[in-house]
Amino acid sequence: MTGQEEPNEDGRAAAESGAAAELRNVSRTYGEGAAAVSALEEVTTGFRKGTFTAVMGPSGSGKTTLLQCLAGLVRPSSGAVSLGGVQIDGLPEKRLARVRRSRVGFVFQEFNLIPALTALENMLLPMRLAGRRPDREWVAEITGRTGIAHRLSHLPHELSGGQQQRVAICRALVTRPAVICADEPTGALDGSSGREVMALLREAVDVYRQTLVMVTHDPVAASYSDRVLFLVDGRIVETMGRPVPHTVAERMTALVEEVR
Amino acid sequence: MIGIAWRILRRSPGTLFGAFIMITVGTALLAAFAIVQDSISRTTAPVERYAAADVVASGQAGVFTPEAVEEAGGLPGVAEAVPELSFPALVLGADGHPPADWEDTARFGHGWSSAGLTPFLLLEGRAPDASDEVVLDAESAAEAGAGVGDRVDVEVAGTVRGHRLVGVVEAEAGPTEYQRALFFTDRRAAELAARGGGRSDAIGLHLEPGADPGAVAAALDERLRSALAGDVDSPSGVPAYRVGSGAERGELEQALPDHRASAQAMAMLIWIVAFMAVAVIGGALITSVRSRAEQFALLRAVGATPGQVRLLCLAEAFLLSLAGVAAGALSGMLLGRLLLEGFRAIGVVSPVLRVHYGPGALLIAGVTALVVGQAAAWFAARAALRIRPAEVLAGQAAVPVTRGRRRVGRITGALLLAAAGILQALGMAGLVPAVLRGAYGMIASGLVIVGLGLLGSWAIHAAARAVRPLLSWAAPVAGHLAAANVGFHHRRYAGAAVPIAVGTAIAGWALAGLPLFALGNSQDVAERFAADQVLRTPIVRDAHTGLGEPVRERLEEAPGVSAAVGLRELWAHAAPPGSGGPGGSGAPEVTRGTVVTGRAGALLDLGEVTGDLASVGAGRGVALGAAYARQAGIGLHDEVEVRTAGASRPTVLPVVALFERDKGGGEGIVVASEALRDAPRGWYDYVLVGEEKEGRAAEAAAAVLSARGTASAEDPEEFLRAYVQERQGAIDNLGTLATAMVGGFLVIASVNALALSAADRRSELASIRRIGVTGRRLSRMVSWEMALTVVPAWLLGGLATAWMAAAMAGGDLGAALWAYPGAVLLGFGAAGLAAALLGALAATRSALRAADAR
Repeated sequence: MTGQEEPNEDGRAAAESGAAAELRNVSRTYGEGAAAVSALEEVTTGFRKGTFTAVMGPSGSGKTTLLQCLAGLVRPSSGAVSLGGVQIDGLPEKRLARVRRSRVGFVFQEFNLIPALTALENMLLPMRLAGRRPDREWVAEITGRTGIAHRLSHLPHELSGGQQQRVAICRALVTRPAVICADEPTGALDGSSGREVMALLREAVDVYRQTLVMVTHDPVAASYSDRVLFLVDGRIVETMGRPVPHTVAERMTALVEEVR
Repeated sequence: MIGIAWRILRRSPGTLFGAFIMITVGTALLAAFAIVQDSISRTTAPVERYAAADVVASGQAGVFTPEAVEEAGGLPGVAEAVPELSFPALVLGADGHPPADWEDTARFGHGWSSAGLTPFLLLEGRAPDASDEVVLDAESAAEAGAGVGDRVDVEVAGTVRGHRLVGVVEAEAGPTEYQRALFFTDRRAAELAARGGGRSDAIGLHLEPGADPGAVAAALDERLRSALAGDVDSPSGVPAYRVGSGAERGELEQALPDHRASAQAMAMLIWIVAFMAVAVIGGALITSVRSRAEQFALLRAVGATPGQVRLLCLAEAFLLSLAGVAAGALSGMLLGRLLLEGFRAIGVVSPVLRVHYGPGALLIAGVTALVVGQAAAWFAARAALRIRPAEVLAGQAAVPVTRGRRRVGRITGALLLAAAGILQALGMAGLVPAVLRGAYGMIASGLVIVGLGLLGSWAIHAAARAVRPLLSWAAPVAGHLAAANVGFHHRRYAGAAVPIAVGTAIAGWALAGLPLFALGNSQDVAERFAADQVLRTPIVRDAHTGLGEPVRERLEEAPGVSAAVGLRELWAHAAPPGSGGPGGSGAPEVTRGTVVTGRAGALLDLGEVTGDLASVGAGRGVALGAAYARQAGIGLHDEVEVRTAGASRPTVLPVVALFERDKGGGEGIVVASEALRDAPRGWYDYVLVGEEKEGRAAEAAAAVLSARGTASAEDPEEFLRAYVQERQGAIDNLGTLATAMVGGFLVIASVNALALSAADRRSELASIRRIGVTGRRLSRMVSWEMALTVVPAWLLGGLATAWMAAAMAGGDLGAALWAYPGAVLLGFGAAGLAAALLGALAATRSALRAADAR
């Protein structure tokens, strides 16, 4: 199979439920024996198409592990993960790579662009890996909307942090993935650039009907989402709809206190 | 992926600079050795002596019978067949010493009737007419300061005789550059050469007009082959004679050293360098992959399959190799020339050797380097695929290594080193199976390289842990941080330092191997002697010039001498009648044979002997080594066909004795010269003398050997000491020097990699500086890091050398210690450490300046 992965039975069930991605009873443990650490425990949640979900929690609560399990970067110790109708937890590495290529977009805190490739080449990297021709109109659309159309021939070190993150957002959008996974996308940016990046991510959801899952510590960033999942010790302890910065901040403070 | 690889190389060449340097150095070495090998194999000796002969057959002393010469003369197209004797002969100076360059420039005695093969023409005087008359070429006469009518002393086969110089000749084409000629009457030449039965050493053919030299040469070869039914070739395939015409005739003059062994050593070095280059380039590529862990993690995250990551690594290495091959081939051409010129300057290669830049050598070097690059990239791809994207992108360790895996690596490394030593020991003792004889050195070097690769990281880690308390006390900031850094990043440091261990071990092994080989060789010879005096002549062009029967006879007749035995070593073979020569079904392999003249039983120590060794000396039978006889299924009193190099027919003899000391069948035959009626006689390699009373053998030897000339007499202890030194000088050490160079290059390449890794630490150094560590302390820290990396790697290489030396010495620690090249390795280590310190400090300063500029 070289192109899109076909949905399997569990995946079809997820698709029918309207979820772009779904975790069911997912647990993840690192290490063995006495040194074993449980990062996720029996997490079940879905991410509906065209929604923006923020994942928050104290340090070590399992936010990044949840995102990595969802994106197929980490295999769960138990439970099932489906992405765009494909159950991915048991796939061999080669097929998993193809699923990530076609169904997941990534935005990282440190941008993670390849220094030797231009902005455009970085953006089109998933297409090149898939051996697919880019849709010129779509590329023009997303580079225009993110405001980097005039910087496409530049190498990453010739771009500001905000511009680099816009390139990373374009790279995440270029394959029209089932879900975009963003890990602290504003963590390395100043306030103004951070706000611009969050506005772009929001637009991706509203304009392009993308599904976005974002890990963040920042209540302001979380306020751009449709809902916030709060994690403590590897479990979802609370879900907050229509978040606003101060309520998110208060809840986070309370959770941190509880953990202490 | 090739497109991405190209962009990475074009836009971020720095990330792969270390690997590029390694590929360049590797290609340069490969190209240099390939050029040297190609030059050696293309170099032919110039035709001087046989310039006027259209076709020449030449071989070992006395290989051609008078019948063979007659048959050659009867071949279609042949006008005349001229038999030729060519034996070492020296004109001594007025002071009794031979000319200064007598070991470098050949000096041969001939019969006057063969002067026309050059031709030599009389400049003055006349041809020799009496047994005490000699004709010299003009150069020899000038060296001796003699003119026509003067008396000159000539040494032949250990005996110095006075001759009257009756003529001076010169080659028609002008003075010969690489040999001198002395002409005696034919009868006198035959007496001196003592080949027996009117045999000759070469046949020169003058052809009728229009005859095809190639066709005649082929016909002659066929005819001569059929006349050698009792002959055996050496195990390496050197035949008893060769036939040639045109440019091939130069080699047949045997005036210049045979460098085929050097060409083989060079071919082996190409393989060793290729092995090493895989390790070195692989290490550099892995370092590059680790420093780009985030890029590889990202590629994996955004959907690169394992196959695509592998392809990227292979493509990067391929493109890098292309650039490295271009740069390395050019430097290799220069290095090849320097190598040859250097070797020629110190006299280890033939003076006629000239550098030859053929496309073949460069093609071999280039293709090997590309293949090596791809093999190294395979290891780099494995490292890239072990990167866990989730952990790297979350800022955790790039490549976790489990404790169990480390232990397995350590144990495997130690086992591989042990296996290399055992293989080398078996090889030195001649106990490896026949199929491995040509390759055991290469296999052992491969095992050492991989073994050290597996142990290197552990050695650095262990050293850092062991010295950490002491270093923290001695240098609380710089030392403490250095020990912690090296301990934590030991795998990264090992990637650059392991080549130091490998280079030290390979160079040390090569340098220890030469004296140990010479010692083993000499001990093999000496342990069979139960004599009071050993007479011999020096080794010139890999062979003793030889002692004649008159020397032995005079010794045997000397008062107080119990026995005098002449010994000659050659390749031989014994098998039951009808089973054929070597290679026949059930026939044993060729072995070293000792041909004796005199009462061999008295002066040869062959271990336990069953049967009657005295009958061997009397020519009534043959003695076989116990192991050889067992392998061949031969028992005492059985009849065997004995074949020896150059024999016309096999000799059927009864086995009259079996002896114990035969090196596992490798030195399996002792037979008397008298018994071999259809074989050429030759001069003795050694004459052993036994005495009736202490001191009489030495007195007799002193009386028989002239104080002038080159022959010497020693007691067995002196003999061993002097002979080891002489063997060491005689062994063609081109390969040893080149191997030591490989070691040196590896150390330089490694130092370069260490300096580059220091340059890659900009952010780490900047963060240490931010917490208040001064630039000076940082420099000290880096210096300690280099010491903690280079010294353990060097020690590991030194220990591996010691192990290989002990194995080569067969467990004789005294001999291993004697051969251990401690001073050279110490210099190696000191130079490596100094270069690493300078390189790393310069790179650190540059990294700090760049960090400050940010």
